[in-house]
Amino acid sequence: MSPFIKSTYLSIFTTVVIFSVYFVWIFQILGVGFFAGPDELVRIGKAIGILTLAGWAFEITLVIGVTLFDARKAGKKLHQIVVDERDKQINYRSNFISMHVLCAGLLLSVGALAMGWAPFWVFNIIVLFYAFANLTELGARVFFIHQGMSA
Amino acid sequence: MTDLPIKNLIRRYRFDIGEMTQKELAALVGVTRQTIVAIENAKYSPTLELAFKIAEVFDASVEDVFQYQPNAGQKQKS
Repeated sequence: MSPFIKSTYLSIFTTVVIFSVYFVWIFQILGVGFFAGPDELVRIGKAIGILTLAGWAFEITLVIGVTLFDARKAGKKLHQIVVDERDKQINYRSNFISMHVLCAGLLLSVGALAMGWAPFWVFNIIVLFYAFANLTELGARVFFIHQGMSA
Repeated sequence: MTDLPIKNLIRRYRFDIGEMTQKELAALVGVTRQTIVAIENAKYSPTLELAFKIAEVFDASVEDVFQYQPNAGQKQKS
């Protein structure tokens, strides 16, 4: 399995874990009531900040860790791991597809804001669609990896 | 997904020069084995640079290794 394919599957795993933890933490552990009140924006901002930093740290650590481990096992150095032109094309195309999902989320959140929804829900629409966009990107990558990649 | 109109004889060339494996060819041209598999199966059209590199490995011209067959792609679609 190439590092690109492996990192794609790893990223699907980390995305599901990170966003599941976030939503369970926000809705089950803290509860919607925690974000009510005058400092609503500060609290939701902190929650999203923690999600972003912890999520990146988790994903980067896991993906780089596994890649380094595989490279060492194969007797290669990190710069010898090949990400070729097809991998890059798959990356660009799946990024392009996921961008539409993210834009849909942003437009929906703007609509929600215009309708007077609370910032908590507006921000969480963005987070939800960010998760969807990530999964769409990774799903598209898996599709292109397995089905070929016509220019 | 339909096959692409660019066909190739990479598999035949690999065997002609001593049963070179896809992995060996991939290492020589600097791509992954999966990319060589995709090219051989007409699921991916390589860039010109990669096409030249592959042809160079076989000491052949690009035209010898790759053929443009637009009708082949259409047949697959119908």
